[in-house]
Amino acid sequence: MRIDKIRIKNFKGFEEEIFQLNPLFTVFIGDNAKGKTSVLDALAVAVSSFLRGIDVAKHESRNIEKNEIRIVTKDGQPLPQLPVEIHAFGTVNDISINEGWMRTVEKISPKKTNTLFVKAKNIEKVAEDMLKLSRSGHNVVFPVIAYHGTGRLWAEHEAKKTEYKKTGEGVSQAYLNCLSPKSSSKEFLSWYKTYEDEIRKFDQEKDKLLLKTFNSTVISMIPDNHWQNMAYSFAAEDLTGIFVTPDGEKEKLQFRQLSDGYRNIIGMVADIAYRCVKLNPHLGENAVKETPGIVLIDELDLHLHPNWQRRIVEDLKNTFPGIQFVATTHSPFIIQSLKEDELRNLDRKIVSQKDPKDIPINKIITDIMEVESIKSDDFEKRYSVAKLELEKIEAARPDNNLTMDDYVAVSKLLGSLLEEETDDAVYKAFLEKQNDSNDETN
Amino acid sequence: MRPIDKGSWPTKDSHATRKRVFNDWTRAIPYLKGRTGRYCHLCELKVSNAMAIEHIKSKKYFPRLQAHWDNFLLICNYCNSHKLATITISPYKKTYYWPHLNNTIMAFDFRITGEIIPNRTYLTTKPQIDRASATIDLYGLDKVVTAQGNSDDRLKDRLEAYKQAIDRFIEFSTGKASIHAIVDNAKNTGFFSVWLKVFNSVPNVKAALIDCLDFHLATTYCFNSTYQPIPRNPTFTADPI
Ligand SMILES: [Zn+2]
Repeated sequence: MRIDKIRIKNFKGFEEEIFQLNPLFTVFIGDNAKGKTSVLDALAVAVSSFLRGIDVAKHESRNIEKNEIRIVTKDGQPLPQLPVEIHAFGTVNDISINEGWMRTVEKISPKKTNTLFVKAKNIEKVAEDMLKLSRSGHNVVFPVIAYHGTGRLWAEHEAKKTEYKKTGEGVSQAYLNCLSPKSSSKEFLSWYKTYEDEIRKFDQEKDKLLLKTFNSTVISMIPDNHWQNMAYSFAAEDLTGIFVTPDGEKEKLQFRQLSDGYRNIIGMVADIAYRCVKLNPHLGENAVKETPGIVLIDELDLHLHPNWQRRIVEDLKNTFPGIQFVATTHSPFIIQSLKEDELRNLDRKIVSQKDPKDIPINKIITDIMEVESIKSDDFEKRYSVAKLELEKIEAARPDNNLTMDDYVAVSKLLGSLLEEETDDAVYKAFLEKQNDSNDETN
Repeated sequence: MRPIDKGSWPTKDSHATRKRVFNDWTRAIPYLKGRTGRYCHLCELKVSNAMAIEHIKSKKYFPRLQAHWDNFLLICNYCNSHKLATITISPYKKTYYWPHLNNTIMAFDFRITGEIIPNRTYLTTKPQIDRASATIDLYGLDKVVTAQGNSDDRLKDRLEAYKQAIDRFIEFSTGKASIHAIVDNAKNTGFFSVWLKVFNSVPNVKAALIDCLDFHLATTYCFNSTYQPIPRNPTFTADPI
């Protein structure tokens, strides 16, 4: 499944906009008011049309809510703008849907919104046919669908006991809560618990293979082998693993003890991998690599260290090569890691002619993210610019060992930052002189 | 943050077994200065005169502890003014890291950006990181600007210390700075942690900094013979730091 283009009309802040999506990775940036999240919400409505054809997952489909209709205020009166249209174009199960599929709201009744589905019958039909074929014993590759909102990390706090997973049709489990912006880390945990237990009891080759695939997927997303030997602990009712500190020391930890950054990534990757394995167990060890689909992630940088922000896009692409990702971010580090066609700036119509990779981080902030205030010259603002350069130097040395060149660069940055701050004329002259001599040697 | 040792409750000159009375707690300042140096216990700012007694548990809610030696820290006015707007959560020993109870070198990282963050080299669990963050929040150690838009001097001075430490490091590598001069410079700027971080890869400078008496480090509890930081509470397995 893939969406190539989406037209959004009268939905949330959008009057009418068309966005082309990259087949692999698209990142939306821009002011909050412009609604990066709204694009993801519109995409969630669009992908959910597929679920309407899956009888056991129909209830996971997402409608256009009443409060999502664009409002224009005229003479002090709020006027809902109609019709609302979310029109997507793309490919499902290798079938290209040229005319697209559409969800609309044409009128509002006092009690509920009337989302119309008539123009999405085509995609529903594709889904129904896939399900029918699968139930008659054929191997059908289903697309994974998931929406990870900013609440993803806290969903797990809902005190729910990790139940044994009742067996049921994989498809219905794989689409459970898939468009709720909270990731359902409890679901993969329940499955994991049951699965590990069953493997212990029945020792099925195929099950072992799937569990192995799941494990290696999750572990591969954690840099530098920091998280190893993942398993379910029945005593702790949680995932456990060996956490390796940067010093090489090993410690057994539970999932819930990990820092936010780690839990965020492990929870998200485990959720996607779990859905892949549930949807397409017949793909065996390729269940993760070959499952297609669409995954929406709000604030991809959430809780991530800058080092990790730089590599997250590449890591997700490598781990899930069949999946189309659409994400939002505030992070200049993520922006800098993108290819030109992967970035969409909601504040700007003109697409940059340069690969973000070739743009220095301060230029990303002023020119791409258009943070103008940074040009003003007081300490706070100059500090925030210098800080990003310093973070960049720091992030390039994850082992904390700065090189002599790094130190020269840091000294220079700090020197010019502090120069404006010192009242001592002699000291100021000294700093200036030192900056000049640095310029000569560089 | 320097791990320090306040020592036991000071005694009266006339009776070596009697505790000194600190009903006027500012009288504890000379003792704390003598035993732990002229640097803020929390942010490490060098402060020669303008220093305040921090009551870990506030005098307002725990009046009986206002004259208690164990309840004292010596801090700068920036840390003090931030603390006045917050409340220490109980049990304070488990909720925060303290320079006189923990090996705080392992708990906090002084980044080149001037920020103070939980030290992820040593803090590996979420409870530990939360604990370090709680201390940072309690004293506003990561504060960049005040409401008026003026920057907090702690940040600027820390960046200044970083600049000087790095410049000495560059000079040292080409034989232009002596160990002695480096330690003197560090004493002068304060922010011991910054200097230690910059010279971490140079064993003899690192040793000279840790051994420098002006910094009053709790070396016996917090560093091993090769100057590696070690946990201060090894018997407390849940969090030995
Ligand atoms: Zn202070």
